[in-house]
Amino acid sequence: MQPIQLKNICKTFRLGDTEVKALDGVCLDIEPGDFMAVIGASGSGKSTLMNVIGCLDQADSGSYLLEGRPVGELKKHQLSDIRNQRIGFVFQGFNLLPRTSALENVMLPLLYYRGELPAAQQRQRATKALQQVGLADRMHHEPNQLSGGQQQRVAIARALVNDPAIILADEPTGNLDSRTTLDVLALFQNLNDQGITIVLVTHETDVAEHTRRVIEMQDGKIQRDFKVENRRLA
Amino acid sequence: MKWSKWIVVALRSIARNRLRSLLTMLGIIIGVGSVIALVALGEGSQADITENIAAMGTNLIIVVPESTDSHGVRGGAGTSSSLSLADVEVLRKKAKAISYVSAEVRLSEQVVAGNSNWNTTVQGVGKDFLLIRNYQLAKGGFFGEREVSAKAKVAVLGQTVAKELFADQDPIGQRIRVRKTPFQVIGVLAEKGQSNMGNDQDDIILMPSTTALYRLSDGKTVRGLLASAVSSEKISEAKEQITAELRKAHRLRDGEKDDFDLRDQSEMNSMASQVTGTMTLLLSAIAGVSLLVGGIGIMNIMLVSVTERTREIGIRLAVGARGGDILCQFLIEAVVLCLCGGLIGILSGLGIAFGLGQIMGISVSVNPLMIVVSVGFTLAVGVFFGFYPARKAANLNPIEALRHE
Ligand SMILES: Nc1ncnc2c1ncn2[C@@H]1O[C@H](COP(=O)(O)OP(=O)(O)OP(=O)(O)O)[C@@H](O)[C@H]1O
Ligand SMILES: [Mg+2]
Repeated sequence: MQPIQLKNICKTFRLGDTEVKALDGVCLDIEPGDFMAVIGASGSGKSTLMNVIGCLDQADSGSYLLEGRPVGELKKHQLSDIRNQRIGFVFQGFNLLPRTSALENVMLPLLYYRGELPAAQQRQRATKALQQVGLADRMHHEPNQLSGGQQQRVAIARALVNDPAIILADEPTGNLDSRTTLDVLALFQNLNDQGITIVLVTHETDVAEHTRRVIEMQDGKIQRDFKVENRRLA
Repeated sequence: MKWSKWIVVALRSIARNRLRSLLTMLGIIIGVGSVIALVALGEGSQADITENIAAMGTNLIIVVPESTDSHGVRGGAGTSSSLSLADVEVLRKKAKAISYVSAEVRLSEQVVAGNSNWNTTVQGVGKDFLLIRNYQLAKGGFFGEREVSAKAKVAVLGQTVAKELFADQDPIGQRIRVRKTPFQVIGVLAEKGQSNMGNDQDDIILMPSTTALYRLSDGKTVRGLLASAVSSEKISEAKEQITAELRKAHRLRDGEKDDFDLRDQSEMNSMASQVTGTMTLLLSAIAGVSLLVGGIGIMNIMLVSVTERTREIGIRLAVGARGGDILCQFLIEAVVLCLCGGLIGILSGLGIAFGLGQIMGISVSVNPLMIVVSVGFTLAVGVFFGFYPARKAANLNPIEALRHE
């Protein structure tokens, strides 16, 4: 079953008289275990697309099947559970809880996990996720004590902690140096090899070359869609 | 999801936003604390007065001479001497609804014992005075019918007088002199403390009314009569009988005004509560304003934190919190905050009330209803301004909540 099937997705923002068509009839199928990059100019609708795919925002029209379920017809709490258990989301602006340690930020999704997960196990999983992004030694730092890149990696760890089937990352390497970027890409490739579907937004062709497939957005439409030949390994 | 888990989340959130929590609690503490303190003091002093009036006697009725109109010059209440010892006998025999009656003759005298002397109030009273006014004897005995009719020179001392005249010595059997007349001390009263007006009720000497009237005074001026109704239900009946008997004894014709005046404790209470009522009203007004100020404080903090909290809610929703989870957390947070603040407010309010009560010598009466009302009010403010925006945010898309300004 295809994890993500978008058909004719439209999303329009109204600001007074002006209308911005952030998504304008997007059709997109993503294969299970795919690793896809979304590129495009600023304001072309990449983040909006990610938000719709991540069930954070809803499309105005069109149909969206997530793992076979019609997202448009689901109730709010069902969407919450999907975000909690199926999807790991990395925000462009991190969106970490202020005055809260990195560890607690990473543990946040587990707090809303519906099922038995003892506190000790929650800590263990959060610690492991932080280790994967190379931040084990910054576990007890709060966001304002971390650099931009470190905050970004905490956000990535938070997306990994619930063992999602799909990872959606909006410019996850935007604030990272090339060395750490490669570490994160290696992590993503590793997760992808385990069968996790990954979609990431990037401005850097370098990063896109590490994925399997690239789509290019322009004015809310998909302009190009191509397979990556000779994928680079991090 | 488990409640214990939400309580932990709420407590963590309170601890995380220490300053905001503290400021919110401050509003609650000020509101609840001042209401508790003011109402406790107001009601305490009112209770003091009521208790003092009750302590004046059981089912007490006081008869005072009505101010007479002699040659157009009116004296104050109790200045004329329309009452006499004969009235006491009339009432004792004829007024069935009263159980005890006593005359009261009051003089201010210099009293000497050995080489100490002291100025005090000498009261000439009947044998039942102790029962009527609720005095107790600490030592010795009291005079009876025989001493009263014999104008016996015996005296019973109040605690203050006993201390001033005899210090640590036992006064029983000792001699004191009032205006050169020697008296034998036969008893000492138990301590009664201060009256409403703040005068010392232990600074008195009691002696038979006849002795005081004929040996020390002019033989005419009876300051008043004290009577006990047989029960509290019979007070008005007793007053009617007293009025009827005294009018007969004083030979007043129909249409002529009473030459005496009756008062009972409920009238004294209502007179006193008029005074304290004004004070209580004032205190309540201040308390209400404090509660309002506290409420506005909570409101401000809550409103200011809405933006930050809406982002927080967006983050929580984004990682999979359901709307209900958010509401639970915020509701518990508001309740915990208000209860903690309320508790501190109650404790500090009581502390202030008892402290001030001690300093000013007023008793403190804690009204549980006020505690419930003030905590309830601040809880309502806290919940409304904390929970209502949270509810709005919880209904948003995560992205909308995250974008909120
Ligand atoms: N909440 C909103 N209200 C109004 N317009 C919006 C809103 N969100 C996005 N837009 C508009 O939709 C368009 C697409 O925005 P989006 O954030 O998806 O761009 P993007 O491709 O992610 O850009 P960038 O690379 O700069 O992050 C932009 O023109 C933006 O102004
Ligand atoms: Mg974007």
